[in-house]
Amino acid sequence: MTDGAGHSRQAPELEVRVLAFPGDLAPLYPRPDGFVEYGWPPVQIGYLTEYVRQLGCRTLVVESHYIDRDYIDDVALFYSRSLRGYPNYCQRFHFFSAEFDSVRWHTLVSDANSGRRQESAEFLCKSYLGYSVVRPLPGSPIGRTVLRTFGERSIEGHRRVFSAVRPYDAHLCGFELNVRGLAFQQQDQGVSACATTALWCAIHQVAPMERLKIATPAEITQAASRYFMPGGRALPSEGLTIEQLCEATRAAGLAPLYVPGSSYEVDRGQLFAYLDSGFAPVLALRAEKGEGHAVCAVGYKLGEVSPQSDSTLHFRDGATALKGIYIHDDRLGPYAAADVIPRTVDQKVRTQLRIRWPQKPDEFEHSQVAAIIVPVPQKLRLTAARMRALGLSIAEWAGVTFPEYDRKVTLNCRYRGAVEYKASAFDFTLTDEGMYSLAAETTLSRYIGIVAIDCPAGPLFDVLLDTTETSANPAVLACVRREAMPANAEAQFQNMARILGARPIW
Amino acid sequence: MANQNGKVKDQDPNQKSRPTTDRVEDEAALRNALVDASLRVKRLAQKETEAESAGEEILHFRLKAD
Repeated sequence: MTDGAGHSRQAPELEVRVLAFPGDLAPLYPRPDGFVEYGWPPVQIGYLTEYVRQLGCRTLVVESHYIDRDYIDDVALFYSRSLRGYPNYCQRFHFFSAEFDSVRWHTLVSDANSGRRQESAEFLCKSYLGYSVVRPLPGSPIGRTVLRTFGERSIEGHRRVFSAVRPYDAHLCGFELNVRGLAFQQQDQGVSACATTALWCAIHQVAPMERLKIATPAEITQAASRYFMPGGRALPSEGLTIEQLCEATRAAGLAPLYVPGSSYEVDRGQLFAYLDSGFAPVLALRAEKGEGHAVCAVGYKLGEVSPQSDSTLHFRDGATALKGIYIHDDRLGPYAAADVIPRTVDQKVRTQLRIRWPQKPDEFEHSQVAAIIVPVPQKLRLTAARMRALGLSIAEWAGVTFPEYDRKVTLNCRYRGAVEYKASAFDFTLTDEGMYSLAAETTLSRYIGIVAIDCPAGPLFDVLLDTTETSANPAVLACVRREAMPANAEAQFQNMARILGARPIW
Repeated sequence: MANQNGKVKDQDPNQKSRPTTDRVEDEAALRNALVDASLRVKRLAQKETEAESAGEEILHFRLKAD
């Protein structure tokens, strides 16, 4: 059926195709017509191909018609007013590690229809690697993409920690599939630039913590340019300033925690604290030629904690174990590896990201960390900097008063949900009285700051801070004994807690 | 396991073989030790918090990489 203008009035049809993983995804994407300024296929498609190949992808299931919430918002704001008609729907690729063909796929659906729904769902769920939306934008086809992360050990033997990831559900023909990751998408240069997509990734992680609606790229761009137009028009997006990023974060119902790039040691400590807490910091980068770029950090790579370099001090900084981070870089793709290294600029030791370029093992891009913007819940007021400033004193104090650990007392600072912390405390080997005191007699803020003092045998004690305060010292709530605390240190521990103004939990 | 007398449960067996350390239990001595510790890390702590108030000029830094 068509209307007077010859347009179809029928509901769109859905086709689900099952393909063996082709080894190269580029032929499955719409190639732009005519001369392609930046070459074809774009780096992002090559990166995605290599990433899912390394995850062990064997099968691809393609949904021909998928309405993507983010893309349809882009269409409503921008593409619907273009001369040529852009479809309002996308395709979606689902990646599986199991090998199956079209016949097997039909059998899975039939089996589910014959009372074996659980078996079919389990087969698909077990090997599900994630999905990627394919937008009908020839220059920037990669839409919302959520993929599994790599395993715990990196090639160099470092430990990978993907802290800023969460569970996502995907629905394919009546089957619910699950993947743990963080959403990524490519900038389209119409509605969004790199900063928009980096912030969108970060909001995807933090907004669900506060039950907030996740802003679309179109909403982020509009919010960012509501009061500030330093670059002229908002659309097409010419990039955002850091100030605009902060405004868009606020409009999304979160607080933009702005940390200007300082020294390598300070930046590393704060980056580690926020990442270790499950937040997804947006990094404002300055490339060697001066241009700005934004990426979203989603995880980190840990090595050994370095010994204390100052001979007058008696503790180690846990942040020295941070060797690298994993970033959503929209010039590449999700979970791109980047080294965090010091570099002297104008006689100051600054923080640099060394981003590895895919398929070119000897090619790196160096960028200086100009600022870190962390979207956080509004009531999280106590910054990691202030928490670390107090933590340094406590760690040094513990290093002196627990001399048996031979300057190997380690400081880590992080945030946790109070509910999560209380639940985890059942494994702290506290006394019944201590556990009851923490669980039933101690009021904690929704998010707590933790100054964690560890030793080589394990955690020694935690100092819990009220994050609704702005200064760390009056924010001290409790001092919690941990598993490696020597049994003969109770009196010392009780006094230390009293001196800090904290409730002792033994 | 924990008991009603407040004993620590599941103690790390390695802790028993570790030589006993004399504990600083006197509150005044502990308080002095904290003051001394704070003085030793004062410069480091200042660097952490000073960074928060710096960098206003880069608020207008445009982030745009294609």
